[in-house]
Amino acid sequence: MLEILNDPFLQRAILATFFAGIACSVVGVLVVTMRISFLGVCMSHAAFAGALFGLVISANPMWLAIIASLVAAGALGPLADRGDFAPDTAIGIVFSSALGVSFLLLSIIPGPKTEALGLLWGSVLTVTTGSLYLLAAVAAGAVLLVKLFFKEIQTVIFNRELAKSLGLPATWVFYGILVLSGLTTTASLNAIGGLLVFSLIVNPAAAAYQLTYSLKRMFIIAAAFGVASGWIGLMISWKLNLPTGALIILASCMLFILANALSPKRRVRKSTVEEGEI
Amino acid sequence: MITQHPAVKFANVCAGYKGSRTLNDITLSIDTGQIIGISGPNGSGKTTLLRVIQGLIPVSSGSASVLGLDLVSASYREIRCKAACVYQTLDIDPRMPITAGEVVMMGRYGRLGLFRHPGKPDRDAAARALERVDAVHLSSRPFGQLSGGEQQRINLARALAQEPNLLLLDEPTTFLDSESQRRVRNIVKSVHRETGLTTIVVSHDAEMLAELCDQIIVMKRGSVVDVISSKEFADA
Repeated sequence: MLEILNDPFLQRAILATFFAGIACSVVGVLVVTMRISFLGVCMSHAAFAGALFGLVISANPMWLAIIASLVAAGALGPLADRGDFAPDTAIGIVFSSALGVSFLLLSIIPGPKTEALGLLWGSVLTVTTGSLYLLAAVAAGAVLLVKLFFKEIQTVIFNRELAKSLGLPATWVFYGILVLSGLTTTASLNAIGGLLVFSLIVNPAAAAYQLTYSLKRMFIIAAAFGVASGWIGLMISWKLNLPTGALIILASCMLFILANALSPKRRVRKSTVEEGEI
Repeated sequence: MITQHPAVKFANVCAGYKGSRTLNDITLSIDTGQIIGISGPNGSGKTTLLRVIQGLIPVSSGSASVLGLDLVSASYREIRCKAACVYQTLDIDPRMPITAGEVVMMGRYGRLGLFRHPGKPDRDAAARALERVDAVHLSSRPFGQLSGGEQQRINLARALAQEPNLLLLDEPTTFLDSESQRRVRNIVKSVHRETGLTTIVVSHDAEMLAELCDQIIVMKRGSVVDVISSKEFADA
């Protein structure tokens, strides 16, 4: 089994899944606890649209993906803040716009669309050094931001209005979460893919949510599950010669099912339902 | 704390959400150390008034000062650190990964500023606040799993941990059973008796307002229509 470590492709893949697992899980904890899980899908499609635009105009797809996700974050924040829409509605509007732009750009890309479709599925085994550095930087940035602004993040997660009333920069924290989510999905585009990254954001965090009442521990458990999903998927893929991205996602789903089955919070859910029935 | 200025002083204040005018021409003065009730039908502007006092809604015209700070020119953060608010009980997921003790500690966060983590003085203030509301035993429990009454005592502890100069209570007993309502009322009464903390209570509960407050501000359609003593209010 250890020969996996001698293969340079796999070495990079191991590092890529490590960094993507951490970055996606950190964002996952934020969106799952704030009940805006769909944000991941929205951002990944915005990044995908940006990358496609890069391919159309023969520019660096990664830079365009970053710009597009920042634009999406910049549109989502004020839309959700205006109060005319629920955050989920604002996310749905930006998501559908990104999807429309993506389909349009996909249809006008000249020649074979292999590279474009590669951004949808990702390829952790062929991840470039540049993408690896980007993933490492985003993962380190995400961890650092959570460490620095933990008390502000915790209060915003608990209640954004309370955070404002305490004089905390609640709006900046919310916008920061949107930007971090955009950067994470962009950085994961090459390795994990625009479609699959959503699962790596939501599943490890949702699994960790089942297991702890501590937000700090939830970050750690989610990151461990994210990395474990990546490595388990990678190993099975290497052994059985099956698609890596799909196996990473299936591994994260299995971890969620396991966490849910073993969750001490199941009793809480059950008693809440029973109270509701009475 | 004895100060020369009134805790809240509004003169011809208009304010509202996003250009609309919810409060019209409000003039009032609340002395330091008083406990004041605000009563009125739904939509009369009671909660908006509290939010203006906290600096969460800007004043569109008139002059307003809170704890001696001009609401137009002072930093909102400064006001929010000095004015603590307890809202109606929140609808919290019982599985939310936040403990009651962490909620109380949030009361300290506004004072700390960015990049600073709670230290011993903050932990001591949180512990004192928990003791005051008789909720030390709840500290390590998940907040979402507490009963409505327990949650509201923790919210009160969070506000007291803030060591505020002004306590704002927005429908603090709504959705609570009678025993929990009584406990919350007693805590507010004892805190006011022991510290003289200026307190403003918004409520539909006439009995509570009459029992707790020195004076009642009666609001209707965004305006103050009367300021009466609690005895007059009880008799009305």
